Amino acid sequence: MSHLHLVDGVIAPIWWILGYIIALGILGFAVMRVKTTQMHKKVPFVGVVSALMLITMSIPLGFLPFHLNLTVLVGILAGPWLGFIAVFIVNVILAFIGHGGITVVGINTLIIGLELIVGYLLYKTLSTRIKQVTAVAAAVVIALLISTTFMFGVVIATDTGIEHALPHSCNHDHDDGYEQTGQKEQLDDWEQHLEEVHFLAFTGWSAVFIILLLGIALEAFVTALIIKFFMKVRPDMINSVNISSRQ
Amino acid sequence: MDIAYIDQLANNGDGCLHKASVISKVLMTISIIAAVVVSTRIYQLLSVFIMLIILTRINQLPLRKILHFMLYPAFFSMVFALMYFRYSFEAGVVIILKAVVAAKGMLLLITTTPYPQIFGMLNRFLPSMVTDAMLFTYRIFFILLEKIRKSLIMIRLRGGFRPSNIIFNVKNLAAVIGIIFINAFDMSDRMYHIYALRGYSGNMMSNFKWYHFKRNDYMPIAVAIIIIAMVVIF
Repeated sequence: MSHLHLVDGVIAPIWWILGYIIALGILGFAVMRVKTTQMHKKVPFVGVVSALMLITMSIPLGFLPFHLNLTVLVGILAGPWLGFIAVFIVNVILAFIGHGGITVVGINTLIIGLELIVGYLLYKTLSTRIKQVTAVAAAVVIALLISTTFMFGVVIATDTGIEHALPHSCNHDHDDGYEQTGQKEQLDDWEQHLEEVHFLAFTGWSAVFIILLLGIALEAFVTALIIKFFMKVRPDMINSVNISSRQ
Repeated sequence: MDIAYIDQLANNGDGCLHKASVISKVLMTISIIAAVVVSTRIYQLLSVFIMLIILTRINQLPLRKILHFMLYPAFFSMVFALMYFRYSFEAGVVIILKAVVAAKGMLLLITTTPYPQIFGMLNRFLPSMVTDAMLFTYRIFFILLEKIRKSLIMIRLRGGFRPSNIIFNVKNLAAVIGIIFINAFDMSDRMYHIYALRGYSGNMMSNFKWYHFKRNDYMPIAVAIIIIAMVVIF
């Protein structure tokens, strides 16, 4: 849901290098954490989780201008560290086929990895207090809000233009400046971009807000339904995976 | 996503790039990405792009299909480029070309090199757990893709899809994804046991020969040198 659709050559090298350094640092830490337990057993599992993420991303959602990620679900089932490794793998494979630039793999991994870790921690905390289905829905909503905010933060911090963070099928016809002459001008540009976003009968901020809200609601709804399905069919899966990921 | 089609191109192609070693093709791709990062002129990027198109034709890759893959980065770069057009037409075109040339470079690599060979090379720089997991992802992806395709057809045939009822459709979609997850997790257990029986001990690609220099490596290396020279000198 919060996948950053930046392409190569639009982010200054300092930012994507920094993104790579931080993402690879966390990846190294994740591998070290997993190594302390039974690493070999988990390698096919990480492969499966990554493949599942790639496949859910390719499921069409009709008129809705985004795709499912199921990042929080992956975090719940695989745990934060295995999940982070899976997120990195997914981003590398997507970059090979032109779905996002190879230089922004680090930044993308950080954004989706944050969503996964926050979702996992929230679910872990909430599931002991409220029903599991409600807990997962709440975890998805909060994790997506946090990762989307982070994504917008990255876009603003790197001066790349807020339209990259907008959902896929937004209308992007606009005319803005080449030279970034000041903060006010940038904000004016963004206002213009936002004014030109259309979704159903909505435009501007309201369209962005509706698209984001729909995306978050759909992801939370589907994730909650899947957890409900697991509880009916294979309740051991959630419990056993959660226990192993907490070890 | 066309991962299956790209994989077929990489494995069944017979061009000179298909026969070249991974290291030379990766060097060529790095030079393309470096050119994209450094270039600020249309003609520099356009020259690299034309060179990549020629390479695509020489290697008998389907140009139209590959250009179709590049629509995605072109669309998203256009979004950014439109912001630049007001002050300079060149700046806008440069942004689009940067995205398209980088994507073309990556696609040239992935359509001439099977994924496992690239993962084998990445094994030198990334932890073996990550590259092994990449290989498992590659193997499992196609199996799961087929499963989900069949499940979605089955749902339609059994009346599980109603165009006017989104909630009904989403509920069924969630059940399909749930079943796929269960199958996939069981599959990961089975895979682990099979690989353990074969003696898997944590590094599937330790003996992978990705660095052997061949006669066909002259072309990608020459292309890499020409690209760097074009960007640096001109």
